[in-house]
Amino acid sequence: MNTEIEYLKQLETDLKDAATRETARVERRALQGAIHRNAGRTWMRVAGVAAAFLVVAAAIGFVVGGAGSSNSPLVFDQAGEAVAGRSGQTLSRAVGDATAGGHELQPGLQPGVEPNAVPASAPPLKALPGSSGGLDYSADLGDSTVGQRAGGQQQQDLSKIVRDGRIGIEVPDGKFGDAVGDLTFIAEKHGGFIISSETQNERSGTFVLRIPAKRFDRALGDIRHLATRVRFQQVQGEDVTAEFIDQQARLRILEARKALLFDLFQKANTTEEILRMGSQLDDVQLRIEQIQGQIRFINDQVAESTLRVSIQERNAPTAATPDDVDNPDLGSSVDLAVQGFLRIVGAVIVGLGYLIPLTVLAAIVWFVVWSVRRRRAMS
Amino acid sequence: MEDQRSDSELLVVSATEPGAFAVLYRRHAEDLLRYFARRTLDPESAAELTAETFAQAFASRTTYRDTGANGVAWIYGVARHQLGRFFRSGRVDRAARRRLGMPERELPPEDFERIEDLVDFAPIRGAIAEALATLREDHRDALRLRVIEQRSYPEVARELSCTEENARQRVSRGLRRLALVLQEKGLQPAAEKES
Repeated sequence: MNTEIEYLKQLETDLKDAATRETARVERRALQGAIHRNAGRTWMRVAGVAAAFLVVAAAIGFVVGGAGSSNSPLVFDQAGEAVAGRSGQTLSRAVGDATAGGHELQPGLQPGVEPNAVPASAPPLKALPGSSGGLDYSADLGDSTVGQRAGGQQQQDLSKIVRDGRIGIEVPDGKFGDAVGDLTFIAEKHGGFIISSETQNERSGTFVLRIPAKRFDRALGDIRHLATRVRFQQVQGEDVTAEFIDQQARLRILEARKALLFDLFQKANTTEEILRMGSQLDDVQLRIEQIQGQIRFINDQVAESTLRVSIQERNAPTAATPDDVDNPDLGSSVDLAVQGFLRIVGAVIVGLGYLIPLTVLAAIVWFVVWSVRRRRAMS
Repeated sequence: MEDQRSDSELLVVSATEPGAFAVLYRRHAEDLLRYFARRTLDPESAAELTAETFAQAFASRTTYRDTGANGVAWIYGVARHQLGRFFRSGRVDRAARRRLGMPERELPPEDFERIEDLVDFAPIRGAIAEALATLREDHRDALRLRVIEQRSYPEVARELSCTEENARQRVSRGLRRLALVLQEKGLQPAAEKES
């Protein structure tokens, strides 16, 4: 530009300055982009190494848990449930199961360590009426060395599981009556009975059975044999061990209190004292009976299982009752998902227990080798 | 050595090499100033419009797409847009210069006459005389002395009994008003063909 106009010269300078600033900005942005990309790559590498480490840990966890034990998932369940904060209830079962089966316990799960255990000085529990069911082992809960008794005494399972289930079966047309007869026979054969029944057009019906818990699986198997097709089957168990132990502990405390109050009652001299002690004794006795009732209820529930059976002829019109429909159970799905997740976490934790010391050891060896090589190179 | 690249190439390259835009500026700045001066008749407004047009073109250079037309046509498109806004609002926009951090510069006194020299008043003298009648008396006197009688600014100032700066201001405002009147009457102060 060949101009005498000063304003245009000044404007050219201003535009050049703007261009310089723009160039610097572009370069700065490019540099920042490169830095971000590098940082991103670094983070990706770190994340990749961490992920690989966790995968290896999980693999080790599964391998270690699976070697030499057919009940390996239990180990992960223990770890997973411990992570989920449910160690109190699970640990007692795990100890019982593992020692009873002769399995080696995981570190930290020592026999006799009972989170909800009754103090060793507490009096032993007596077996309660109705507690002779298959899964009922009301034993000496206060004995912390129960798993290590001399004399080969068999380890007792302290768990209290309430089991129930439902099954839907299909029978040939015209065989509904026979199937009901067989069902009644199966219930009686296993020491149980039908507590309720409901039939439609003599072609389909629903029956609720109470079966001794220890015969539950066999009864279920026999019922399956009646069917030409099993439409659905569901068995579930609820662990009420913690509640049972709680009630036992409360019962012992109340009985001790009752004994003390009775002592005081006998020593009372005034009418007022006698009335007050009597009232307190009545209260304690009432609570004792309530708890005994709850314990009896738990034992009954544990001793006998409820089995809901739907029988239907092959071409019978379907009366879709909520029990007949094999609905997908969302709650169960969520439980299964959580269980699966916790198993993985448990496996990773077990694996890390092996992997971290190995990694530290490898790092030490590497450092020693590196130091020796460096010293040689320097000399 | 003169840059051999076409205007379009320079515009495209300036997206990644901002310095290339300066070549484009050197090629077309004076033509664009003349373009504005002949339309606004006001050196101050013409200078400001030139500055704002180049600033706006620089800020928007990344949006330019080479479609085969001459790149300078794109710059004149920006110029027409700025001129339209100027005639609508009566003032020059400053947004692009602010965005680029460019300083606001006053037109140096000696540039007034140089920019006025870029305007060829001959073809429009008749229209100007007619339009002058619509102006304020002080503006009309200033324009008559400066544009028709072609007196210098010191002489205009003496004649009007005011400072030289005040004389420039009256001429500038009078010309701006004149340009608007001519625009309204459909009379282009300049009839040169745009690039």
